[in-house]
Amino acid sequence: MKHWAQIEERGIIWGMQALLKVYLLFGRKVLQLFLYPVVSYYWLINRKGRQASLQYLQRASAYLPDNRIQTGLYGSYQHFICFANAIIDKLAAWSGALSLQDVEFHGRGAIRQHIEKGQGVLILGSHLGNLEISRVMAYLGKKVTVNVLVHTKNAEKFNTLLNRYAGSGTMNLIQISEINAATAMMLMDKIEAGELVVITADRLPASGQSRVARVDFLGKAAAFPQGPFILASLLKCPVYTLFCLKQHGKQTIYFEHFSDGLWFPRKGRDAVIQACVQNFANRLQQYCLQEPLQWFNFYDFWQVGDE
Amino acid sequence: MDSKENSMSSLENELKQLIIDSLDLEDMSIDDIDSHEPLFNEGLGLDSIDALELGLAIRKKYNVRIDAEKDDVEKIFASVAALAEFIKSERH
Repeated sequence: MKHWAQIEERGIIWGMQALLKVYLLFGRKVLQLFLYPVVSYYWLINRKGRQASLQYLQRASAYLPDNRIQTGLYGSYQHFICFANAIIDKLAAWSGALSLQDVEFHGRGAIRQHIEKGQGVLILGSHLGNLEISRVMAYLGKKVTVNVLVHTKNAEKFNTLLNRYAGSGTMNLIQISEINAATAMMLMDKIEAGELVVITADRLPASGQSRVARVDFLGKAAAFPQGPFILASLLKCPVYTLFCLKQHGKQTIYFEHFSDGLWFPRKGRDAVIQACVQNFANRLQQYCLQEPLQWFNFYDFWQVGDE
Repeated sequence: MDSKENSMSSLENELKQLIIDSLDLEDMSIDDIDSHEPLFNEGLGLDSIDALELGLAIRKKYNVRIDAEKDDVEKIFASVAALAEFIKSERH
């Protein structure tokens, strides 16, 4: 099976640039005209992605009231269309078309307090919903810098793209393939400078050699990376979760306190890490069931859990 | 022992104490750590998380940075003696 990192990067920069131009020139409706056929085609030819979607919907539906989501092929198609709309929202966020009024915040006060005290915060995100919306996090305080850690090799190109369309340099994408001494030091500097560091905690890094925790997600064991949590324990800073969901047509950002500071003692370390990752998976599940179609991990999320 | 060796061994002792404190090795004392024994795996038995923790503690205390691109991280963390050597060379 191809790793998700390989699946996603095909010409994505070029495509995104083209789509962004269309969006800026003609707006959302016209972009949908472009995007729906593309996504429909993709849905037809991408058997693996379709199967992953069907499997996910099946698992999620067990936790949802009847008729909340469709589970068959039609449900899977809707799932992909939902992804198409998320791409449009992403472009809107990048182009600066998304303003503070378009976004509803929950739990913003706590983050603000940390920022005002000059305290750096580590934020755990996911591929549920649209993390790009967090671009508006820049409005959280006067001069907060948001650093988003990404696995993609194209981080620098993305940065250029971002900065071309949105003037302020308050959001940095930082490419990280593994957490080593050097990257930990660099992030420590950022936390000590009172900046925000955002890292997704639901996908394994592409290197494939990382520490994983197998925890329950939607009723079955799935592999989550330990890296983000270990990083949090090293940085010794407050930890929050971040979920950006589109609800009732409005982008809604949820910040929620996760820990005042993670600590993994030497004795029984693995068990403590395991419990911590399970906490995160539980929270992810809870938000996931709020907006089940906004789950954008189109690969067999539980595959590694089978081993 | 001349003064140069003396300062080296006091730095080594300082590092041993830092290792014990930052890694929470409460039941060890600096006499239990040999300056030349390997820190990781077969020696003191530290793991990759400990390495990161130690790296950050060293940065804080001595204001030296380890650059994964240009420094040989494995060599630096090989033993207390190697670590002391690295810190000394970085500080001058």
